[in-house]
Amino acid sequence: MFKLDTALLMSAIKNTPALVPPEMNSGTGYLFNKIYKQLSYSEVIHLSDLDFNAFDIEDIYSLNELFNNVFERQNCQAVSIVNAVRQIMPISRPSAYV
Amino acid sequence: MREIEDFNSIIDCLILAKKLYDIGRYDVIGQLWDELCLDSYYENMLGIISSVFTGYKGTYSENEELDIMMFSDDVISDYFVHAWQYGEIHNIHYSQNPYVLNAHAAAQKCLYSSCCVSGKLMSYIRTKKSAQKSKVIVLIHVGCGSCNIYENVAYGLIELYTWFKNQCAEIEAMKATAYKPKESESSEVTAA
Repeated sequence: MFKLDTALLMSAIKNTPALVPPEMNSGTGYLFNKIYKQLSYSEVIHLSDLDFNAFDIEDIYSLNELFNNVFERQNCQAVSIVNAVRQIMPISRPSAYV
Repeated sequence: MREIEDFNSIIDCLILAKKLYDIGRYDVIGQLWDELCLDSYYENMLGIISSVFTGYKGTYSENEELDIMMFSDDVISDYFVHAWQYGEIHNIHYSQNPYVLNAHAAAQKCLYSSCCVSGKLMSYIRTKKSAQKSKVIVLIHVGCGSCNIYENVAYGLIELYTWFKNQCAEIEAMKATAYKPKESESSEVTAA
């Protein structure tokens, strides 16, 4: 059994620097914002919203490679931590009055 | 934040849409499901398969578990009309005609993607009329159970369409260059 200080946890989360995505060219960057970011926030992607002149086929392959090698692993780690914290049962402290 | 389970399906749809965009087939993109998701993936694959070539006929054989598809298009007809013309001019047999051989090689490369898919180019160059009836046939053995069959066929058909389109453009450019009169010859005629 371990004790989790929620105040300390919240403080650590607030102070954690934002994830910096790896370097990518403009085309891959466009797809990162339009496809990956939207998907990770459960937003719907519409073909009609995409500017097909903004990226090449190679940029799509690059994003796919980044997803499989980097993003998916990080995403899974984050989801695992969130699920682990959710499953921690609070322990009631005995009342000083009693 | 959530796990993204349908990313690969979305990427596959996106690649095909981009390929279609790059060859100017906005009409096919317009027929796809606008929302990119796992649910629209299969429908989009079938949509692309039935729309890349203007002529499409499909039938299914239950006994043999075969999806049989036939494709025709002006790019195929025009190409084989030129092949017929070439054969007539140079007195070359069908089996030796370089245009026929190149087309069959391209079809083989584009359509033989797995053991579940076989494609055949039905090319006729006996007459101009028969050349115009040339077509592509694709057989898909659906009993295999591979979920990537239709995606591979969609890829292959886009590649084959692109090949025919580029070949027709080269042939037109070659004919335009061959029949362009020289400027010096036309001025001599005027003077005379």
